Amino acid sequence: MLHGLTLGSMYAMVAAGLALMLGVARLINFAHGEFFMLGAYAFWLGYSELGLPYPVAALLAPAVMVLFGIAYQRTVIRAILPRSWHVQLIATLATSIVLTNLAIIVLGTQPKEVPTALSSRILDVGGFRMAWQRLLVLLAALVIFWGLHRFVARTRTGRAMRAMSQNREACAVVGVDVQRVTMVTFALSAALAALAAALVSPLFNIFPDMGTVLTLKAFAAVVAGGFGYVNGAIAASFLIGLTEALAGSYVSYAYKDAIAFLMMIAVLLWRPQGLFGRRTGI
Amino acid sequence: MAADGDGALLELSEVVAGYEEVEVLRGVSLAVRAGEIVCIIGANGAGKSTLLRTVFGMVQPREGAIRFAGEDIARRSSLEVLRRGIGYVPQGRCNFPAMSVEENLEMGAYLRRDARVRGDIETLLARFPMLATKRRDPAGTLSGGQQQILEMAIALLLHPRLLMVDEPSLGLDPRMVEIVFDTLLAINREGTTILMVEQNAKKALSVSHRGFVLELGRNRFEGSGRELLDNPDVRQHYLGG
Repeated sequence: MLHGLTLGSMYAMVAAGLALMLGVARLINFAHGEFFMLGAYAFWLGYSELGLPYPVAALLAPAVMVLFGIAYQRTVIRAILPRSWHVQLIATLATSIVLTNLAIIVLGTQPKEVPTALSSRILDVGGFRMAWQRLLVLLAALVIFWGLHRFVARTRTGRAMRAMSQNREACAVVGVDVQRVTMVTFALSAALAALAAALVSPLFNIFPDMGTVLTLKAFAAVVAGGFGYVNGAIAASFLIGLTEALAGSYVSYAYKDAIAFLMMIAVLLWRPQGLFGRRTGI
Repeated sequence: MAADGDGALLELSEVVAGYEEVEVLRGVSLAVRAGEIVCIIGANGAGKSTLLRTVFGMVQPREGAIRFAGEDIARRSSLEVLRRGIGYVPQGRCNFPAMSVEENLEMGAYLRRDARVRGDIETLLARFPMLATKRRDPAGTLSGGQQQILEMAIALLLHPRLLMVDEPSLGLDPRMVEIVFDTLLAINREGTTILMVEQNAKKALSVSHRGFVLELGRNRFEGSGRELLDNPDVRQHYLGG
């Protein structure tokens, strides 16, 4: 159960970014899992190679990925946004493949382990045992989602993001700088993926193609959550994480991914409009 | 047919514009003087909406000049056009349906950072009671007419010198059409110049100081609202005889 919640937190942080990009820019970024992968390597570099304290390395990763997200938006995304969805699909998939292979060339295929003090210390509450790092993942995820909600609901840029997700033409009419808001959305999404990576990397290995399956699971969560509705994507992510963990424990670890995707197919057959019905905006 | 540009707030001369290979405007000229209500009428495909989109920077003109208050604004972005004092209410729904009426008005003041925004919103809500009673409701739940009024109110928050409105009566019941046109007249009386595109040509000409008739992307007729209403050709082809 706790493993499922940890997985769900990771999926939710990645899926929230994917939903933001879909909602605001009307684009599915199939390279989003690679944002997570690069964030994990940035964390590894800071923590293991540079010897930075965990909190510093954990904040370095999103800082680096904010810059990467901005660069990605200004190069790839700006060029493909006015094009058809076919072009967007191929371009983001191509970016995913290029980034994975660059990581293989530069960093090798050997998985990296980044154990931290919290990942090896066990919390024992009445026989209920878990790594402190898992507790940190859950608490940090809650804080991050609260912060994201406040940002989108209360700030001027967050309001512009909501506006863009509801009516792009109306944004031009009121003077929203659509390019700037798209850039902030990509930077924020990249930071969320990197934060997720910095939080869960002490629990899992880091390897170049770790982002591929993650993109698919986050995409499944975004679809089940209502095609760009961020809270829906977060809720669906926890459903996937819990299903996967329970399937791994009680059915078969080998089939956990398949069972998670079967669950998503069932959700879509039952509610094609997504778990939370048809929604307008993020 | 050349438009008289003397003292014009907005002046288009020989504007050519379109989408990819399709040329929609083929040399349109018109002038709107400060304080006027000017309407553009014409059949579907005449280029009426494209003309407004071109002025607002959403379509880039291929040839010709567009001047606003003496400044060349052709090929400026929508944001730059908006900052210069041109408001635009496009055809169809142009609000944020999941945001409340109040949030929509706040979005109307997105470019403003002064302290008078809240007061201006309250003034608009007091002026449009149908919006005030629904200030907390999502805009998407309002009737078509209420949304049209909301969209004009959104545009007014930047205090435009020129307000361009595309098909304000589209899809509205007759009672609501009257309210929308009365609102436009009131906005004009307060000093805002209005350029509107309208299918309901009789109604539009009856409230306009001047009108232009477009046909296949070119000027066909122009004159005062009364002149065009009395013109036999205009009556036969554009006013249903």
